[in-house]
Amino acid sequence: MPVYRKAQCMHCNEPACVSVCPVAAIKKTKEGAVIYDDRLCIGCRYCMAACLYTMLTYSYDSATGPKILKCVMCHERVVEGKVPACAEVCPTKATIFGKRNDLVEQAHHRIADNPDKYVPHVFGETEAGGGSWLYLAAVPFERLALPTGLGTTPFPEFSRDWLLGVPLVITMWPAVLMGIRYMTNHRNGGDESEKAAEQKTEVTK
Amino acid sequence: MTTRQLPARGPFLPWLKDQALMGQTLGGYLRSLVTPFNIIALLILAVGVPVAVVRFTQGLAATTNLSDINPWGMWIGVDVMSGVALAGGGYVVGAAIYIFGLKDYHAIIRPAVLTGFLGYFFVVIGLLFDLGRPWMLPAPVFLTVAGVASVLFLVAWHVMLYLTCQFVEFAPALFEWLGFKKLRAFAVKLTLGATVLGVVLSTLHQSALGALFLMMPGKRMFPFYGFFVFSSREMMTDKPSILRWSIRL
Repeated sequence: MPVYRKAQCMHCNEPACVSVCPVAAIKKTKEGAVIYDDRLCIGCRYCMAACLYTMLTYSYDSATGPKILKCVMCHERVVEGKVPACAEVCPTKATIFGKRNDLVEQAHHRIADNPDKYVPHVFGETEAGGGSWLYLAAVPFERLALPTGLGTTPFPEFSRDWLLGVPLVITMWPAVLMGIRYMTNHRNGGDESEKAAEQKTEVTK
Repeated sequence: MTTRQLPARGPFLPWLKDQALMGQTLGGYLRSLVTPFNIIALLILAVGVPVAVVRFTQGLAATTNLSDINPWGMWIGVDVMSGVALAGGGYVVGAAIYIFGLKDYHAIIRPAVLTGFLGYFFVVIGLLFDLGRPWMLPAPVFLTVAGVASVLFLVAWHVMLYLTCQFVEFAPALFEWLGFKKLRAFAVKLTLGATVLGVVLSTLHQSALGALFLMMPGKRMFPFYGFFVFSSREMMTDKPSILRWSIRL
């Protein structure tokens, strides 16, 4: 039997897309939504490549103003104190909106109260650091095409060590290179031989 | 290349024309352009220019098979990731001569630096075709908003600074061609600094291109891995880990 789910941005707590954006066009808001500003976007699509859930789309057919298209959890409505449109109109309350802590608690209650109805896992609670979008399901999450086994480490952690090495290279490397240069130059007979080589090139040209 | 005397600085336009045509007549210069390599390049352009026009008028959808699951294609894999390494000659030769003191190689520094400069320059030009909003290309460097946690932000800075270094290294040849003696002498003095900075930037830049993938465990990309694979299905089932990622690559 086919199973359906509402597929959309998981609004990660530490989103990969936010940390890879070179111009900070994607932001995690304090309300929980991950929002996008197309005026800053350069169109590199690194966010799409980095998204754990491949949930970002792009208007490839536009030559003059392509954009990333994503769920922004109706951030403008949430700021006004309203509920996201999808949660408001859902007739069966399959999609609900609230404070994350309350929803996590409610999810665990539902699983505990109906152990034969739900798979005992709240998807999105801890996946890659967790997010602001949670799933409960009656079938294993693999069947809903959700990536299980993401671990609990937020993805931005993976490039952190490398980034910390950058200042090290910038500060140490020039000193090392100038040291080598000093030694080889000394061995070759100092600046005079260099000037001769430079002049030789000039003449042959 | 034949040796020739630089003409005296007479009226500007004839002098510029003479410099641009390398001392030949216009007809002679054009005839000298007909070479087997240039004919092949012309054929490539005959196909590429119309495609480029379509790309900039109708977008990436009309010219590529990119999708939401495969947002980076062969163009990025071949041009930016691998092609840029072909520009490494300038950096290697520059470091060998100015830092490691292998002066015997001084004779080839100019072609090496020129290929390095052009290599990087055309990576930037190539990138314009892939970026969805190419007019925003300078944004990571010149706008105040900055994604400082992004490896790609560093790549943008590295490419910009490295291109500048390569230009400074090539500048003596340029000023010599224009006959600016003092400027040339000044540019020569900058060479060592530019070379050192170039080596630092290349060290970071080349490893940054690999580090782009640290955030994408499980994802793979042509030409590093077999054929064009950037599999989201694999993402769905694989347990990502840095270890696995590094073994694959």
